[in-house]
Amino acid sequence: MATTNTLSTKTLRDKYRSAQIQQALRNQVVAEKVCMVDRTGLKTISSPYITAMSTVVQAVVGTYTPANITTTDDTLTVADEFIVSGQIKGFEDITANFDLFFTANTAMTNSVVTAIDKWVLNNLCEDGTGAYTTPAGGFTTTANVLVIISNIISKCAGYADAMGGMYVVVENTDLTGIIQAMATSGFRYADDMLTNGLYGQILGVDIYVVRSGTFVDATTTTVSGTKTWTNSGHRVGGVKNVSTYAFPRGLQFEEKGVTGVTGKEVVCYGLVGFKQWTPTSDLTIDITLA
Amino acid sequence: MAKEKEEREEVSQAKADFMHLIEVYKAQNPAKYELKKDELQRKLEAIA
Repeated sequence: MATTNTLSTKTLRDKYRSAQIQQALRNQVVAEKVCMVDRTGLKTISSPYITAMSTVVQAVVGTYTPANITTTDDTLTVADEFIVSGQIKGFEDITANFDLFFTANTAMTNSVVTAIDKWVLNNLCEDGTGAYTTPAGGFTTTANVLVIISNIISKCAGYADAMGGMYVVVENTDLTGIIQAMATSGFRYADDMLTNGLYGQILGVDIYVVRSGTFVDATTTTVSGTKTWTNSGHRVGGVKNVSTYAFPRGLQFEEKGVTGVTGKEVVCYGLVGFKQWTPTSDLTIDITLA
Repeated sequence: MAKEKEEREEVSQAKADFMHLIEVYKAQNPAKYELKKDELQRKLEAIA
C-alpha cells in the first residue's frame, strides 16, 4: 500500500524559514529592542496618546472644572514593503556540494533583517526631536564617551517613560572609544570589561552596535523606500518603546516553479511602517557627531 | 582625459543627487531641515 507523505520537503522548508527569520528578528535586530512592535494585520495604527492630564492643587472646596480629554489625530501608516527574491536553478541545486536551499535561506534572512533594522533605525534618528551634538571626535574619542552618555541620560531622566530603559545605537567604528572608556572607568567594572569584552551597558544605558554604513543620507531609494533621511554622521539614543514599528503578520514566503526555468523561485516579503509618536518625540535623541 | 571627464561627471551627478535630497527633505520635514540646513550645506560642499 502506498503511503502519502503529508509533510513535503517544501513544507518543512517553509516551517524552517519562518522559524529562522523570527529567531533572527529577535536576536539580531536592534529595532525590535528599542521600539514597540505591532504584528497585527493593521494598515494604520492610531496614536495611543491623549491630551496631557493636569492635576490642580487647591484649598479644600470640593469643586472642580473638567477638561476635555481628546485623542490626537495622528497615525502610523504601513507604506513600505521589503522584498528579497532569487531563483535557484535545478542544476545548481543538484550539483551543489552543500545544502543550497539552507544557504540561500540564511542569506535571504540576513538581508531582509538587516534592511528592516537599517530602515527603522534611520527613521527613528530622523523623527526624534531630541537633539544633542557630541564633543569633537564623537564616540571614537575615549574622553567623550561618558560625557555623551551622561548628556543622553540628562535629556531623558525624570520622565515616567524613562523607566522603559535608555539606549544608544552606535556603529562598529565608534567602538574604539567606547571600549577604552569601559576598560578605564572604575575598578570592578573595568576589570570585568577587560576580562569579558564589550559590555552591553554603560552608566545604565544599553549600547547596541550596528555595522558601519547603517546611518545614511537617502531619499526614496531601494534602501529608504518612501522615506528621506539625512543621517550620515548621526547616531540615535534615548528612551526605549516610545515609537512603534508595524510589521503586519511578519514575513511571508513563496516558493514556486516558474515556466521556462528549472528549479525554484523563492521570494520573501514583509510590510513595514514606522511612527515616532509626537508627544514623546523629544525622548528620541538625534545625536550629531562633531 | 576620458577618466578625468568621467570623474567630473560622477561628482556633478553626486552633487545633483544630494541637492535633490535636500529639496525633498525640505519639503517633507521643514522643521528639521531648519535645524540641519548648515550641516547639509557642508555635506554638499564636501562632495568633490
